[in-house]
Amino acid sequence: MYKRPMLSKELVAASTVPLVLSVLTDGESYGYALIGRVRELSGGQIEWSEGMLYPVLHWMEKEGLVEAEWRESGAGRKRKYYRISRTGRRALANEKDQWLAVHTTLSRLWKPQTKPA
Amino acid sequence: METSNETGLNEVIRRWRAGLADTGTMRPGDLDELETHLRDAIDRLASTGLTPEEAFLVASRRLGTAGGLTIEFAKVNRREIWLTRVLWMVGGIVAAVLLEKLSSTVVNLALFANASIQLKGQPLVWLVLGAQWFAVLTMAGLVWVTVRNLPGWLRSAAASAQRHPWLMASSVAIGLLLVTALSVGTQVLVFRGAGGTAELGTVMVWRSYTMLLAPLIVWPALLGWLLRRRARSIAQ
Repeated sequence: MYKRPMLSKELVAASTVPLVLSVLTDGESYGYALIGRVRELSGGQIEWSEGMLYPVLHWMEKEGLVEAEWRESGAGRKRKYYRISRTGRRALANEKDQWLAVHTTLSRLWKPQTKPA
Repeated sequence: METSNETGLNEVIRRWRAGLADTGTMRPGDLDELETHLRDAIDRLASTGLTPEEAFLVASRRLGTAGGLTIEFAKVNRREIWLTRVLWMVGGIVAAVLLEKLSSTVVNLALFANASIQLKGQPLVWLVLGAQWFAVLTMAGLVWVTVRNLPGWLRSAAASAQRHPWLMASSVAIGLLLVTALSVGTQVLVFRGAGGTAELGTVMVWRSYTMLLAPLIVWPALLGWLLRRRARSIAQ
């Protein structure tokens, strides 16, 4: 049934904050666009259940990782735009170190087994 | 054609939003944000050739069910949810005090009338019991309608109270002052005018029966009903 392996629930939960922060380093964005950007970048492997992103964004706002602002968009729609904060950048650097440590370790472990017949 | 479609879609979205609002876990801003997301997604899907209804179905499905969203939003909005609950509880206490004072005013007036215009026997007892039961049953009824399906007037009253907190607080203060003055004032009338008559004794006995009986029957019944309802909604 599945065309591509999807991320497990736990991994999705753990990676949401670094993914959001990373996308926001390219500039401010809003929920719908964030979801689209992550889906596109992951080649469809990361599929958030869309509504769940907003509580995470609000938690990040409370923690000061992002700053948010309501603005009217072109179509007369009120949108909440999120921007990464200084604290967010520091948190992202920290996250990056951790994810790279996991990635490096796993890569080394899996090296002999790549490309099975 | 286009406009009737749009009105239909707006109505569907309005109902969808009301359904989420009813869960009581989302702030108005949260609902605004979700609605904008839904409309963005509908626009995108409609541009691929889906009808507005189809686009709505797919978009709302992707956004998540009310149940799933409630759980996630409840985690971040804990403070707001708790504050809302406490506000309703305090509102209930104020309503109970108001009703109690009003009913005791009626009782006192009946007793006073008993002394001055000789309102005797049966009518007096019925008036006293009626006033007390009215207060208890109205309170129970308020709890019942609030839990079953919050009526529109109560919903808009709560919303306008939130918009004008100090107006609300001062009208509650004035209201309480007024009913307290009424019930104390009429009590004084009774003590001055109707002390010691035989009817007063009978009425007082009946009154204390009601005061014991009403809470003993009505509140446990209501509590049992609430607990059962909660258990069933959790099991769903």
